[in-house]
Amino acid sequence: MTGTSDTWGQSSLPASPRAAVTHLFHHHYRRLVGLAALMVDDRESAEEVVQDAFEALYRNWGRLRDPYAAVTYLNRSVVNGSRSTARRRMTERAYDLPDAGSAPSAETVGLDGSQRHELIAAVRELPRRQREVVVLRYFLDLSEEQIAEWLGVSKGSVKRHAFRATDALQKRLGAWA
Amino acid sequence: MNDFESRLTTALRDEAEELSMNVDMKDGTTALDQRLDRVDRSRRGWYAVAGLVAAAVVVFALVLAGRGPSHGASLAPATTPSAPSTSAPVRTDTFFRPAFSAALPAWVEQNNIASHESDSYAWWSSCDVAATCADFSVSRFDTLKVDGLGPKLTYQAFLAHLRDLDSKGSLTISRTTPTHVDGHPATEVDADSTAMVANALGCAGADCQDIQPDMSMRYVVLDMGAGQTPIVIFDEVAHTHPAAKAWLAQLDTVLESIRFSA
Repeated sequence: MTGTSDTWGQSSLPASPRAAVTHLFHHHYRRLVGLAALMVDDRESAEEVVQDAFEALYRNWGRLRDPYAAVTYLNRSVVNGSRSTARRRMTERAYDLPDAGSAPSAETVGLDGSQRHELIAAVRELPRRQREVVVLRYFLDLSEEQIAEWLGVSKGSVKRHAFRATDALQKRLGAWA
Repeated sequence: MNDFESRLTTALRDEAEELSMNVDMKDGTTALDQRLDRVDRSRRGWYAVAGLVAAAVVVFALVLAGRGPSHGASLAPATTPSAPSTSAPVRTDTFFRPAFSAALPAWVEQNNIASHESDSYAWWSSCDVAATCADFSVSRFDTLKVDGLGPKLTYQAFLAHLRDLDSKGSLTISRTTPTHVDGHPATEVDADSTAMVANALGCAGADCQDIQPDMSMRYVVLDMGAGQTPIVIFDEVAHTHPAAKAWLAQLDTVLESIRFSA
């Protein structure tokens, strides 16, 4: 995964909307599919959500107050679309994805491949709201306040969902967790 | 962040990276090109229609102007631009049961990225750049229970449920009006929300809908007959949406045009 805010400098802004959207697509498509795939159950749906986001960006290009906010628009659209796929409806705020370099490596945290797959499978089986909180908290690194705002729930509710989710995951995964 | 949380973060990011590495960029680019081509064609179509309408208006104005002097009256200048079209051609939804056709708002056709259609649920969402969203939905709620196992809903029971939500403060109902939709007795309910209430509106099986915070809603509850679960057509828009009233009003066209299959 790469960072988001500096991969499309203003000096490289393509002239036409179509060229700009295509340019963004090549820079951000994989990363956004990764985000969507954590929130929906299969990569095919994730790709569809991300394609939808790029199509919407193109449709709405003329309405962007600042074309350089397009990456933020995409992030927002993908999170919205992912949640819509799970038949959720709500208003979200923008957030730039974290750079993967800020996360500890698998070796550092002592996580082998099978443990990772087991953990991800357990995350996918969490109730929808808990899973959303886990992805927003531990993948996007949002604060409890930010998650509460994104999901339209109280901070206390976020705490409860996060606690229940991590508690369930640790119990499910037993000794190594 | 404790040890387990670090592992969770790493697992999520590794998983996302692995999933994204398997993405076929060539296929993705082809799919995107097709989508953008479709948008371009759609725009050209709208421009063509707009051009024809403009030409017709000019011709009509010229005809009137030619007749004007003989009537001794001057024509007021056309200073008010025509309102944008709010309706699209009639759309038939075959996912929903019963299937329906309706003249849906034009934006559904133009920007239906967040649409979802199933046998119990058809909805479209439109968000602006600031992610201020508005939704339009046709839903069939079978129960009020999250596990999908509650008693089967009736028209009267759903209306009672809305009143109950109002009495509990989950909704504030401002208007209730009896009406008819496609020949079915119906009740139109305008309401506002302030807080998120999870799974509170109704469920189709185990799939429930929340009441979203800070929204204005117009629910139209249809009595589909004895033994049938009610259908709820609704429109909702954020309080802060600059065109909130217009958004809710567009439901009128849908209600006039919607036809359910037998």
